[in-house]
Amino acid sequence: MYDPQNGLPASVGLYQAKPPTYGDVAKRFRTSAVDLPDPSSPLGTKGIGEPLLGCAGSALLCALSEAIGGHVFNRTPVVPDMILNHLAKQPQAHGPLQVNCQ
Amino acid sequence: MLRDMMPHFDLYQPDTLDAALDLAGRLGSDGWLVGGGQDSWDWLKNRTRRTAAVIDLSGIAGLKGVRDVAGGVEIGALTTLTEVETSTLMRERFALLATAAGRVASPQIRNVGTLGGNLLQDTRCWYYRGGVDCYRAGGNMCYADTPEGQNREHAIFGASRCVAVTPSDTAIALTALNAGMVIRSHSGERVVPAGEFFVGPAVNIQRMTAIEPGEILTAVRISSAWAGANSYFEKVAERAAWDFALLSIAMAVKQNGNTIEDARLVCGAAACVPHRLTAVEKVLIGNSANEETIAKAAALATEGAEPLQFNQFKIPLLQNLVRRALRSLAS
Repeated sequence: MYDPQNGLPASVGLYQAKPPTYGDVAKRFRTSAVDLPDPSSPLGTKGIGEPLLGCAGSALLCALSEAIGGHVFNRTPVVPDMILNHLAKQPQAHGPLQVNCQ
Repeated sequence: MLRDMMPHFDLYQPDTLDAALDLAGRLGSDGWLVGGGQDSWDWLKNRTRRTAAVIDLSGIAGLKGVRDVAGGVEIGALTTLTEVETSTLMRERFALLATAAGRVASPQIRNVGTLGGNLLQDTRCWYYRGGVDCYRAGGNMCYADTPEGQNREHAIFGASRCVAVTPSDTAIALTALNAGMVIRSHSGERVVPAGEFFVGPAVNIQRMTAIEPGEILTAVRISSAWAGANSYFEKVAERAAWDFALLSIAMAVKQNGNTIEDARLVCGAAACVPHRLTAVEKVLIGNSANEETIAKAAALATEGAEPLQFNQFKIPLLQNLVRRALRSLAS
């Protein structure tokens, strides 16, 4: 969160930036290897860690689309405000994401 | 943001309440009272505020513990939130407060943070916490209530220049239970009902409670009137732990069969003070919690709300919380 008018960042502490705690993640993670090399990397290797966040994000967005009956959010993060406003048929408070096309 | 290490101040560590009252009376607004320190140390280490002296109350044994008082309870202001949450007496008589205390921050903070501190903590408006010169900090503007102000966490009721909200989970539970706040000073003791203890910006824009310099909140008394009543507490926050409420609700209800005889509903993070839903209470009394009453109650809950640019989601959220609270009576 950021105030553009005054140039002030809001998330300046751990209770404001809100990284997930152990209470916010699945109790049990199931993992398995797909055993398919990545053709676009010279050794067939794949990244773990950060690259997977994109997959998790899109999986969550798909689950959300199914739950609220439509592909509504093409962005992350999706915060409770956005879901509530959509379900209550209120205008969204957030504007479109700004894209740097240069 | 922790900007620095602990600044210099004179530290007083009284071990009796009388000594603490003497110090508080003598130092007045120069003496910063500290319980668990979970709010105070942030202010001081951030250097957003300074104080000449700190009076550390944590050594006063008489201010700790939950006591049985004629079917009600008296909770010392220095009782940790963990003790409020786990006390058998509290769970039996006032499960509402025990549940609310258990939803505060994180287990580590509850082990150190006190009930008094949770009630007296300052607002979490991030502009104010960041040290801007807003109305509440003695300046002459509100940064949150501007067209681009980031105000999703701010008030939908009772704003008056300042739009900050109460951050306390226990405050709404205690207001629902009609608790009395025991305040001591040099000149004696006064007991202020929770409904008058918290003050909004129209009354005093720089303070959130009725406590004056030189006074100490020593205990919270809950009479037997609401002991064992049906209750419901829910806090909506983005994380399961260590987060302040986007909106919360505390409800205490007395029923005779299915008929609601008396009800108190209070919501948090909607106004600067614990916000009582008096219109909802009126519609409930004498009725049962059927779907028709619930629909009426939900609509009345947000009557008069004035959302800001980014917090209109609190309107359907509050209506849903009222619905969920009342549906809990049926199950």
